[in-house]
Amino acid sequence: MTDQDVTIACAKCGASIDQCEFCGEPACGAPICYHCMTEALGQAVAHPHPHGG
Amino acid sequence: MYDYEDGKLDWLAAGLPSEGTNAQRPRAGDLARKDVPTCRLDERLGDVRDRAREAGWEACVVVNEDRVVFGLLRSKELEANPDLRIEEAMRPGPSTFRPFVSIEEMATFMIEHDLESSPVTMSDGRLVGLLRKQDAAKAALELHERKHGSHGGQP
Repeated sequence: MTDQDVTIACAKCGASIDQCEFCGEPACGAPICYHCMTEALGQAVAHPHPHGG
Repeated sequence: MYDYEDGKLDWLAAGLPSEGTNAQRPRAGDLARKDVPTCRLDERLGDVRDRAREAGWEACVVVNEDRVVFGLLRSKELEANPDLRIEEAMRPGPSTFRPFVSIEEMATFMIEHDLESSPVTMSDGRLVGLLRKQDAAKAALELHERKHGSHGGQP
């Protein structure tokens, strides 16, 4: 198993991600996916998750 | 009447004027440091590191000729082998943030994730500046105290 095989779950919606979208760290304690991050920061208008979260 | 076809978020992202109560609140673009050093992909890391440190920085943003962000060198990346090319040493495709993002949200995220700096860009990827955690945290604290009064003051 390599580092690239490791996936983590978004702390907000549970989506599988390779690394935290905010800090870019695979070992982040509060990982967040791109969609949740952009919505949390108001960079995007809230809409249904494409991955069902 | 002018119809701005790219929408409200893009208008705000471009740093164009806005009105209303929220327009008075500090945003990521207001506090992003415009004097952050920049470099190109084909430069040598050692040269870029010396240049950044001479200017008092432990970070450098990698951009192209149009100032579109390609990557980021934070203190960890700047410590790598000085003979590496920037392309090999940089953190590619860092998350970037729009200038209109609330400074309170950014400060909260930066503290929670222990992120020392975040690039702020226009919606087309062009660099606005680098937001430093200490600047965001200081502004958010001042805003909080203005809103709620400083802790330990008169009731």
